[in-house]
Amino acid sequence: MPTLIHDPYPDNPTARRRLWPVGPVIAAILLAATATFSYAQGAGEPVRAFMAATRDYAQMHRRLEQQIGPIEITTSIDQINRSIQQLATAIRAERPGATQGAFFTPALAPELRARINEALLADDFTADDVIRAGRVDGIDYGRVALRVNGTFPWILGTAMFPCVIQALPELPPELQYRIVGTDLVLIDIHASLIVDILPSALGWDTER
Amino acid sequence: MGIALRGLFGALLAGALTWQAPPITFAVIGDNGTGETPQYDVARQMLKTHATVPFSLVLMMGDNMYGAQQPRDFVDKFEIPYGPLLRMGIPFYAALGNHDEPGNRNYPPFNMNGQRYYSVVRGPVRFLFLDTNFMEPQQVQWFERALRDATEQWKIVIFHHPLYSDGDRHGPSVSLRVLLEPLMVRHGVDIVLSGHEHIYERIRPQKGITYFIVGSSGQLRRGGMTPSALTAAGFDRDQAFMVASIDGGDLTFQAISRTGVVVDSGVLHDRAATESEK
Repeated sequence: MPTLIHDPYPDNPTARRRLWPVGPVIAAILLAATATFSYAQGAGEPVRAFMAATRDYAQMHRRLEQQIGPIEITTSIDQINRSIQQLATAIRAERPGATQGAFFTPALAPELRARINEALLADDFTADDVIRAGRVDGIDYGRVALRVNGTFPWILGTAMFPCVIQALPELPPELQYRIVGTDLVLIDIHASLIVDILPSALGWDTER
Repeated sequence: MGIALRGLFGALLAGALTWQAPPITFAVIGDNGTGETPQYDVARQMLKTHATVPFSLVLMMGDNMYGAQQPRDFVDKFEIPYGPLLRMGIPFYAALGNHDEPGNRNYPPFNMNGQRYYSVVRGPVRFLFLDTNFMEPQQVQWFERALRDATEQWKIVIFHHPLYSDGDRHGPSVSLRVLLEPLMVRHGVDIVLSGHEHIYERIRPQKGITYFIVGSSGQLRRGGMTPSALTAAGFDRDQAFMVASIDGGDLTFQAISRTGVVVDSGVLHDRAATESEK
């Protein structure tokens, strides 16, 4: 299995400090009420925020690609690889502090996990089917490290179950999803760049 | 004179009405890009076959390149083995497999023109190539539009992951079948060519579509197939490739092993002809 390097989810100390003086009981009630309210009223909001973030990302990608020039169609593999690396370098420079969870936010994560697992169940698949397919496909892979802003190792040979793609928010053409092990990875396919990682995306039933 | 002209016009008109696109012959390889001896053997066998069955293009089912995909790999795993065919001006058209880097779509000898999915018309055939690593909604919409608008007599669809398979390693991609089969049935696809499973297999027609797996033109999973009621023919003892010729409503095919043995052959008819026979 690949080794995954994860950043911890960002905490929210500001909100905690704001609530603490009111007292732990009230804070707990408020937090529970807020969570329930958010889910009932705005289940789509984290998804909308994600789609807006991916659109912004695609605009940034296109702006950089215009500056650098598109990846040429050429028999020079060196030139193709150089163009891909140039684009990746420019994107990294634009997002130097990119962290895990910036796209797959803590608010969105339960929604995505539930969507993936519901989509699999609806087509009579299990998380194990996806994990097994990934393991069988990855005939070349040994230990690989996945991290945000790192290069995606195509050698993993991963392909996505169409039912999972259909269940996830639609992406601009520059971005794709892959499942590696049990994690969902967001990839810039022109730059072969890992944009975000959602750990343990598989194997959750109804968390939302 | 008037009669002669009418006769000539009539003959021309009759000719126009019965005009058929010229025959087209193509080869099919899949899961070939190992750079190892068996791939080279299959390539030599393709060259030998070309002398008697002069195919004018080669379709690649994906996994065109395994392992490293640096400049040297494109030479060792593609340009050298298929060099004689490339020098004869025979174009190769590739689909992406799960081991192909997406950047390979920019490599001109794969004729993908920078696209992950695309279509090509040759004679009476529209070949449609998909990227089944990631069948996103935009690609599905494109596929449906392309099928709907295709006016050619034959529609042949090429993608890496097979919808039906008796291979023991991967088996069928059922999730993909749920998505693609209804579209292909609705829009009259005749043939589907795939790879991924490292065997050769021909599946009995499913809802009018004949499925081939040509996934052993470099890789091989020896004994990697358990025939079922779906199996029309299969070969898992050696590497193989396929040649096919379309003339009017008939497609004549042969699957040929690395050593030149014909391991499967037959004639298929386009769906319009098949349905009119019913």
